[in-house]
Amino acid sequence: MNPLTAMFIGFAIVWGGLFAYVLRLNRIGRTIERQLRREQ
Amino acid sequence: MASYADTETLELPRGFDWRAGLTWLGGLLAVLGMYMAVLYAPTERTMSHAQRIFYVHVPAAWVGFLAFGVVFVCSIGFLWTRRRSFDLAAHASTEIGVVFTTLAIVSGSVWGRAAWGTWWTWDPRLTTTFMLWFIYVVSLMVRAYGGPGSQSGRFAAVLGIVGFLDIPLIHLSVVWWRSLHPLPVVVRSEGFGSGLHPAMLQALLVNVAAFTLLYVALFGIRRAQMAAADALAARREEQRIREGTLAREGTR
Repeated sequence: MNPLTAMFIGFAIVWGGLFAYVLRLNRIGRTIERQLRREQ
Repeated sequence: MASYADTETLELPRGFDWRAGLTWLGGLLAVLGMYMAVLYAPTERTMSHAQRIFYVHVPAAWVGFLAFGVVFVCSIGFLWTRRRSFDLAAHASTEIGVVFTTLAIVSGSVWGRAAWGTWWTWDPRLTTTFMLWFIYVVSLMVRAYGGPGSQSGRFAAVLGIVGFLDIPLIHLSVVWWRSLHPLPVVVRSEGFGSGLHPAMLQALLVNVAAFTLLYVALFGIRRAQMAAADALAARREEQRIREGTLAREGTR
């Protein structure tokens, strides 16, 4: 594999991982939001 | 992007959320940073393309330090004033700092495999960084298993302060001891970024900006979530006590 392509894939994995982290936080946020709606 | 309740009124916010805006801005800068790291920055002479890991490794380490700096300040604030908001901020920043320090260690390990032929060595810089990561993981474990209440928060705050003292040690470890790790190329006495080609410095700074924006956004998101969850738990506790009191009055 071309080293530049490998590097690009590596960066994409890093940012993909960080994006997955943001999505996970988003899911936690939605759970809290649902609980809040139930309480109100 | 998730919305978060106001902790006083438990009202959900409407309209533009700055955290979502910062996340998108950080994402856009990340795309630019990725382009600059792979195609704009010149190829390093000795390390070739493997050196490009630097554009993820250094920003991740920087954000880890920044996050633990915030933990340090908030931990002092919590021990001083016992205000729950400081504790929540320290907790949120610890979580994000651990994520970014893990990224710095893993990316450094991949670079080490290419440069030194090994995934890990007990070099002073690597060892002190591992210690830092370990201290904050322990702090998260104290919070997770210490149960609710201010005691686990106090223990975590002490760890947050002690852990931060390791950061100057990490920075100076390559100067003080014989280390395999490269010497600082950005923050050095000869001038800021003087150890780098200008295009490399530009690519690095764009990535640092992207990671920093993402940290600020994630910190805002996590802190608000924790505060909302806290307020919700307090409200439920109040309700439980009220119901218990009413039930007792009903049986009289």
